[in-house]
Amino acid sequence: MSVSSSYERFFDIPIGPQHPALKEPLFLKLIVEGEHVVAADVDVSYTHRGIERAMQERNYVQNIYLAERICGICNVAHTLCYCQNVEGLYDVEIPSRALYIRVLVEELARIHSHLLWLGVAAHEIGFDTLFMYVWRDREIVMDLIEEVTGNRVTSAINTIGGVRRDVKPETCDKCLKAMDYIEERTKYYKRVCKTDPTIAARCVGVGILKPDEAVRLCAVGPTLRASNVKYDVRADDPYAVHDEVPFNVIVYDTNDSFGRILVRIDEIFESINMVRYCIKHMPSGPVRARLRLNPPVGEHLSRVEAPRGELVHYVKSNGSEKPERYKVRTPTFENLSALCEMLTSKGNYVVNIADVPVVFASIDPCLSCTSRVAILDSERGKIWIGSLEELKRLKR
Amino acid sequence: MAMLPEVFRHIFKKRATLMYPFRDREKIPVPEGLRGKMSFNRELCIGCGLCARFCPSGAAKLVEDDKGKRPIFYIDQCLFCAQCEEVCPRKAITLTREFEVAGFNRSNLVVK
Amino acid sequence: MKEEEVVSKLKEVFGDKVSEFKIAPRRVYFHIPPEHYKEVVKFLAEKFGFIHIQTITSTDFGKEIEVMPHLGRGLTVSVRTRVPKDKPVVDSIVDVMPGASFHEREVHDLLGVEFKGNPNLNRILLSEDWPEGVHPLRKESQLTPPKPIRGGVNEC
Repeated sequence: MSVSSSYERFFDIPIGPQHPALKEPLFLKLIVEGEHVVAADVDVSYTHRGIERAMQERNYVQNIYLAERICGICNVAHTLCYCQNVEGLYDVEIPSRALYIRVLVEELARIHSHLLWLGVAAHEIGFDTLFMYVWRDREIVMDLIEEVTGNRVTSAINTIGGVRRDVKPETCDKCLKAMDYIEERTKYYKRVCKTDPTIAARCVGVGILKPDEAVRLCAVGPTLRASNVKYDVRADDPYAVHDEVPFNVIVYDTNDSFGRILVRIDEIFESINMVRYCIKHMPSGPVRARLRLNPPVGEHLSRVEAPRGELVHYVKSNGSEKPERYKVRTPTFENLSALCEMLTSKGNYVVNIADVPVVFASIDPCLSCTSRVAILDSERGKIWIGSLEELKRLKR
Repeated sequence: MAMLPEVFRHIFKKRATLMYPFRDREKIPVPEGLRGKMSFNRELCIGCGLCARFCPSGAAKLVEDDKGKRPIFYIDQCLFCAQCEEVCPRKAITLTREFEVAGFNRSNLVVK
Repeated sequence: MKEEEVVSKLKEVFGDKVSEFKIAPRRVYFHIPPEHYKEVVKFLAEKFGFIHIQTITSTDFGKEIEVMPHLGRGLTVSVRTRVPKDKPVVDSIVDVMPGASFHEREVHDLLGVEFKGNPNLNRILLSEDWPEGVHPLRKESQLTPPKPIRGGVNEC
């Protein structure tokens, strides 16, 4: 085959950064042969905001609210991770009622995030009825978060030394009542997802990620758990009161987008049970320990299971009122390399162009979280620049 | 197919959304602890400047006037985090439940 | 695997090359000179199964730059190494754990550390028009706040 004909075989399809199917600025460069994607390349650097540097210029109290704004949906996870991190610099015990409230709000936020994701996935599949119903029920969780924390989205509940407001008994009753309703609705959505032919046709066998590949590429969160790897920070490195609150780590062995839907739906049930447990077993007492403004010299690494996976914060303090170094590693950053793997056709496994939005949505991407990556897969990036013969070998 | 009975049931249900800016204003559930637009009591203020020091977005600024240093709050930069309410030693700042702060003129968004 | 076990195994194999041990619950920090850095990471990954890389943090200390990958799932082992700022070169660990590639490129962008052996150290975070050789997280780079897009706070 001559070079020119091999050029005609492969096409570049750019998707984004502004694209109707994808809600956040993302540039997907796909190399396609006919309908099949043979290589993919992701660029998500359009929302880089320099938050790590900005955190070094502000004091520890101002940084709580900056950490909250790294990502809107997982704001509770970010502030929780930040506050745990700074508390780790002090040698101090946090009141256990505060820790229970933290877990309560964290799990409420997880329910809201997974419902939001289910709606987005349904929209990406082309099933807008489900999207509307899911988002209507999500409003109930948003109202609960508003009731508990004072705002629908940016909760501002965690602070260094505990939480900022107590939970009233009548709010707890409302929470329990709403949990019953959400549980019933989620059971219904699980039945819909399991029986609906549209979802099965769009998701089963799409976006395959084998367990060994997932481990090698360091995938995290539901993306990893749908590949039958049991890893959850809440279980492996328990923080707050996760060592007291019982829950199951959900794993599915389907390795595909459908498994990721089921993992997240089952996690909603686990979160509902955790919310109930927290309300039932919440001890009384203070909700906040007062700490000095300037933390002692030291460093700390804190990890939280955000709705999208493992979230890592690292702080280095030099004794002044500003951190010397603050580092955030968000879950989507780790999952993007797995995304490139899922979008590559290999052997019998083919990825059609029409599957790309579904596969992309299945990792629950949060690009404002990630805020700063442009990925050219180190091996494959070279291959297609190098020679097209190599690319053909890859296809086989 | 589990969807169909649900869809038919929804034909007879009332709508889930509100006609917000035109009707149903009073139906919006505003919980008690909502963090909305702030109110500032100048009489209680002692000019310590803690609100300006801890404001994460620079919405609180200290200005010199006849009584000494007093803060001015620019709501268009406010995050509604209630940190100023928390640090104020004299409880001069409180966050009200007013959430409709959009407008055409920035001078309406200054709290003195 | 316990924290003390990791520490004793490391001391047994690497002797006095490993130092500055710091143990917290489920955290182990230690220091290793840059020439043995890759050896240690390889040892941890192959013998102990620390194949998950959480992140690579790096800090500018004026004369030195600290590079510290955090490995592991339940127990986190942080391998601390320091390179001189005028010649910041350290071995890449991409061939041991492929997931480290993006983290190394991030450090390369923001602090200008060269990772010897990483096949692709292209720009990852900074935009295309960012000047060469300016690393935003280094101490000497100045931060200028952006101008407000429309009006100041007092203009209405």
